[in-house]
Amino acid sequence: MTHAPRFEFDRRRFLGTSAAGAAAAIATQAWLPRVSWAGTAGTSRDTIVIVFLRGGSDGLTMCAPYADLNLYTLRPTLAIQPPGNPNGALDLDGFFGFAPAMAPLMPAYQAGNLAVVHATGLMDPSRSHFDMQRLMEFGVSSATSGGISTGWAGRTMQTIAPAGSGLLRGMAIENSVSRSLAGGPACVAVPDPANFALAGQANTALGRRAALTTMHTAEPFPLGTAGLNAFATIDLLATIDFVNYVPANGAVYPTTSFGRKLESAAALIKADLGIEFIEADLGGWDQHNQLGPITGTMANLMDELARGLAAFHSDLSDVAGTLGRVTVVCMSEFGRRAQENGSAGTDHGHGNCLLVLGGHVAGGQVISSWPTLAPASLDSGDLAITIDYRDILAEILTDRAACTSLATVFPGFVPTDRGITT
Amino acid sequence: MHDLEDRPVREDSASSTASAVELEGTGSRRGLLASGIGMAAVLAGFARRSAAQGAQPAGPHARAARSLAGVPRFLVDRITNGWSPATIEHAEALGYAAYLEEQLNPDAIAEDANLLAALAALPTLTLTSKQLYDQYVAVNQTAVVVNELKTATILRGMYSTGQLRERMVEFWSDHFSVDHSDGQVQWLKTAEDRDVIRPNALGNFHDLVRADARSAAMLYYLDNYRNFASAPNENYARELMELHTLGVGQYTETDVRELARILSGWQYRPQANAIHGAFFFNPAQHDNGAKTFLGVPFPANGGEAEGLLALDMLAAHPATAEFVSRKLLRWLLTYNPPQPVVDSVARVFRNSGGDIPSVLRAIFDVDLVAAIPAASLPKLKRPFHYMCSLVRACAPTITQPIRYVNELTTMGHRPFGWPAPNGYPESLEVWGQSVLPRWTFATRFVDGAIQGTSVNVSQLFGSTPKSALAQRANQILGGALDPEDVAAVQAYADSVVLLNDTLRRDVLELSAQAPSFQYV
Repeated sequence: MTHAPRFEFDRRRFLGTSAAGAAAAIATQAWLPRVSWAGTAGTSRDTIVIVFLRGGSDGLTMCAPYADLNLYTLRPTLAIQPPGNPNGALDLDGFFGFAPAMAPLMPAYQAGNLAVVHATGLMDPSRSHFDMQRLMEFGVSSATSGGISTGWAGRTMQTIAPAGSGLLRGMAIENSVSRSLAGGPACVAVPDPANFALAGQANTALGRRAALTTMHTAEPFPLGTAGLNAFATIDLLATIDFVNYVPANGAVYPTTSFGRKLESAAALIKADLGIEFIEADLGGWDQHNQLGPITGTMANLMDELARGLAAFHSDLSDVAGTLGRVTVVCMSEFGRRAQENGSAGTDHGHGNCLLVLGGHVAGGQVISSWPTLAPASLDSGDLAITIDYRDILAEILTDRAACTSLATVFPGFVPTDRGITT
Repeated sequence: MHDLEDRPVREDSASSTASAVELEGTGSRRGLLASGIGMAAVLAGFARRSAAQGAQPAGPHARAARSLAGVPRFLVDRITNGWSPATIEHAEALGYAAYLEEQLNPDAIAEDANLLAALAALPTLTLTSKQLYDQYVAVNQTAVVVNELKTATILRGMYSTGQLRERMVEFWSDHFSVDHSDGQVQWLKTAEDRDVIRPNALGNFHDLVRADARSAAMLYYLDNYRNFASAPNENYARELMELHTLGVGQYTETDVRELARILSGWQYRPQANAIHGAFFFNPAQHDNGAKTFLGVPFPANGGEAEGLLALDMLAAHPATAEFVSRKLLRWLLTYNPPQPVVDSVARVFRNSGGDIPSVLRAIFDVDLVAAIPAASLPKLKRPFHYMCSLVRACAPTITQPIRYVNELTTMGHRPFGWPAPNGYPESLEVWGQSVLPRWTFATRFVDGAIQGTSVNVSQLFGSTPKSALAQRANQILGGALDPEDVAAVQAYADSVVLLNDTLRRDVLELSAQAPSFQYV
């Protein structure tokens, strides 16, 4: 589905001709784009939002397998207690339960919009943050990584037609384009979407822009592409009044960098610019000491994550049904070692949980082929991986992002359907 | 940096075609030739543009880098944070080899007097960790400690006469990265920078590894201070091998656990202690059992000495020589050092026992540089380098250097601000895909929007006529610009009616935003 750009689109005219309730209600929002694409409503392609939890998040705390009693042997001081106990888990399915700090996500889970996948990850043996982030963002195992330096989302975009104008297909709300997006056409890093404009005096901006455009048109990758993408992005973002953006349903985002990223992402998605991938990361999960699963660093991070995603869920559950064209994937490079370490923290581990949120997610369930935490089942002391994370991505890309070239996106990998989408 | 992609990201076919057309020579390039801009400069432009295509084979135009080994300008580009009239004059007076030697021995040259005066106004730089804790941290003034170190780093990068030392301090600060915002690192980093990184930046790698392993900032950041016999914490042990010495893939998970045991009980004095931050070995927390590390048996009761032995094994390991040599080559010469070049530098690394000046001499050996394809020599300046290069070229008045901390933060390069132990990436892809923050910095810098900074464009441009503004701006910036970029800037100047400081500022700012000024 391609859409011809309509730069001349006039908001007054739009209001005049579109009396229909939902559209008009949205159009009266002051932050709405002054430029829009015709006919994007009802697109079957989702915006995929990637939330990478950098540092190796502790999936055994986030979504505790409280019914696997080995957990309490391995983690005598850190384990989340079973539901019903003080600071006990929030039951999800009679076996797994969220840590108390994840409570803000219970409504999304109960509404069937949030699924947890457990004992997942990349089956590579490495316990290095940097190796595993690189491999997971590139979407390859070390055995299939040869020569690949593009990301799974980037390769997806290489193989499919743009969802919108093609001027802005991927955005990392980060200081640099993330590796997941690497290689994708029209991908930009926008640290703060509300402040992305050519600096300097307005009366010389056109001329300066012309000079910069000339210089960057002649320039090869990466600066040339980056310069031209910057202008395309400046133009598109200028149509959105982020400052006056009002989340739907009274959603309140955390007043943190991560919260602002998600709020910007929601505004971008509602503006319907045809953005296919957005990355908004949350780091700080490398908790080798004083994990603090109930009160402490881990609890605070989970709270920030959960409140952020919950606000995003609520905000997108608007009258236009925006949630129906969004899928969020929240993952980390690895989980933590099953056994707690001597510093009331955890060292680098292996299997982890992964969260998927969206309007077409088979939510309200924990998808897992639980390997157990029994000593013989552990992988070098860590939770084993029974579901390759690419199974989940492959299904989302196929069902929600019109991807038809999984062999290109995940070379050398044959995914198994895990029923994550509806 | 092994953590980031080693190969440039494939460019999409559309932009590849566009640049190929450009390289064939356009009307504007012919026009430039006719207007008398020298062939060397044009060739330099070709080289940079071809090189930036990375994975593509060197085309017919990939003939030369901007400057070559043997030419002092090459060193100015590679071992300083940027060209300035005084720097190039000095380098050319000494010649290639003597200038390198001078920079390898920075203690023998006089430091910039203005820099010394500016540093003297930052009292926390010379205090002990105990003093910092008592006088600042305990009274909620931690931010002063943090900001003064960042400011000092920026000032030294801009103004120190020992520019190579500053480049190496930046390198080692990333190699042994500690997150300056993390807990006690906020004040322990000051001593680590002063007593560990700076004195050893041009010293011996073994000393650096040993000193870093005992520095409070690292002990805290990677948790080795709480790595106990009864309660091991393997965070530091792993990163010591993966990031500081061997490189990933050169050790087993068992080695990680054994090294953690070997280094258990390595601690530093806490805040209440008069020598807060000082290293000490705590035998009560040391694992006295026998260990096997990298295949070598460590008998029981090895004490502190077994840790020192393990550090020496790591520093002297051939994999370390190769890993660090490749990283240094990436830092100073090329994103893709050919394996024979890595091997020859690694040999010097091993044979010299990790003597950093010997390694740097090997890297800047004229024959070695000549063995690297000219098209793969150009390197993108990281934001810190970019910022310093603009300051060094324009010689502004700066009364509030602390303002540059925020400027760097906006460009994603806050000093010591990388949140992971692998340090800021050294990668064309990571830094090259985000240009707007650089443009914004250039505009703010030239326009005087950074508080306390003023660039005197009247003086810089003098009586330059409007028709030569872009050429003059290129001179101010050390002749770094491609002719195409100069032409585009001049076209802008031609389109403006009035010659005044506003136009001069716009021309300087556009020149600083030019793609060619982002590279060395």
